[in-house]
Amino acid sequence: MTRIIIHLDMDAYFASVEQQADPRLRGKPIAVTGKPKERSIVVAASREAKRLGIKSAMPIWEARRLCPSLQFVSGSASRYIAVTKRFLAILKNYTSQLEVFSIDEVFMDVTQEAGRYGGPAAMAKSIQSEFRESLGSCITCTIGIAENRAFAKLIAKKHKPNGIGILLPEQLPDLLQITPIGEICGIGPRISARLQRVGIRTLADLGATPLFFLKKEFGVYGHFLQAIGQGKDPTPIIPYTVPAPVKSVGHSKTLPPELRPFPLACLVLRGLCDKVARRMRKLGFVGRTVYLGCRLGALGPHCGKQISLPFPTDDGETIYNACLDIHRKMTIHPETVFNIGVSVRNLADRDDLPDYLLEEDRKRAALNASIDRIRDRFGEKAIVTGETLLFDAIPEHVGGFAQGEAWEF
Amino acid sequence: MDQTVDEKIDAYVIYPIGAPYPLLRAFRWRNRRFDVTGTHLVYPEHQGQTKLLCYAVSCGSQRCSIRFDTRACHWVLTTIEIEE
Repeated sequence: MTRIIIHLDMDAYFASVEQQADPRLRGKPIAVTGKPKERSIVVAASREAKRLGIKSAMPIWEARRLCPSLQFVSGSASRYIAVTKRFLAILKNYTSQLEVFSIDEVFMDVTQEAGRYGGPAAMAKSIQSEFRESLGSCITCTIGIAENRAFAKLIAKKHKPNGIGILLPEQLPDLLQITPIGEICGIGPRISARLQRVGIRTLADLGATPLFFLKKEFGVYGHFLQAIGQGKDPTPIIPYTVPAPVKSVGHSKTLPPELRPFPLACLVLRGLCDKVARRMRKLGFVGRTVYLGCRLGALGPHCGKQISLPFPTDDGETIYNACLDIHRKMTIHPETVFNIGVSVRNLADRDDLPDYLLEEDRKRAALNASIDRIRDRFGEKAIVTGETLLFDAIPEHVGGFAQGEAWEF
Repeated sequence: MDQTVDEKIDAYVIYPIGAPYPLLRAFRWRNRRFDVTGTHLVYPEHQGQTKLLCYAVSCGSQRCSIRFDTRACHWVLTTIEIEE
């Protein structure tokens, strides 16, 4: 192999962590949820639950119908992040070429280091046994080994759970022949559907398609598609030591039925703007472009619009007022919204900007700094706006890593 | 069934070399000693500046959640499994 890439994927991660923490849940079908209410969804299912047909993102009522004995467990972000930090600390000892892909997935370039452990397979076994020892017997991982990222991930998927899969160069042509295009990471359902419409069904078909056709249809992305079809993936491993650039800061929330009328959704929006502003201040950014997005049904259309402010800001109220402006300017004025989100783009370093000129702005910045100090010391809910008190606090996301946040491990 | 307790306890702990957190060996609650037979998961949580270490442990057949306030150095029994 010219390069040796490992893709490590934790098995049924959130559910495994819960089973590790509570032995009563072991061997039982469990589903991790946000809040155990009918309108919530399954965030992660245990291996036992998956065998019974329970899938991630399935509504709770459907999961309960499929498996009446299914136990629901409220997820705890701090637990998952703690375990992630612990396994990343273990992996860091194997190589520094480690890319954190999500809360439970890692890519590693072990071309230099694999020999020291007697080859990549022996290295993978060593990682698995160290995980068992340090994290507990319930928290297992599957490891895929190939010459590039996309195929390491593909081979890991085929060896779940708790397996080790190696893709040797001589096995690649056969794999390309049998693998449908949608199975590879980097080709989503829409691209997959477009390719299938022109008769491209397997990776081998994709590799044999002329580059000019792919470029005409997909632009520069055509280069990536053809490379994947030929068993190559040019995407490099970006080590954790290289900070990911922050392009935007945003939050969104799916609303319960009683908060879907727009005036009530605005209460949630106020809290989201506050969260966005707080994160921006923590990261040391100010932003000029505010984007407001709404989904108008569970699978309904999405509408969104952005405006640019005259001056960059990191203030929650300014962002909220910009959102109200956007809503007024929207061509569709949604009466009810299913999901609402706000993000701030066009970011710049706060330190690169001059101090505030107006007294009012100076006061606002001082107020925000005081609020931040209170929250740093006593927790996020120690001081909130009046609007935020009118609805349930927005839960912390447990889905993955937010880009640009410091992950010390 | 888990019973919420939230009461301070006397804890017997060891600090093994190289371990990321103290290991809880036993604790005393309401004049009864509980020997920890298994530590399933330890994870940190933050309440503002206060770092809490949360322990999911077993004492024989009973499962307990215990919290260590690293600032005030208090050990608190959060929940304990009671027989129905």
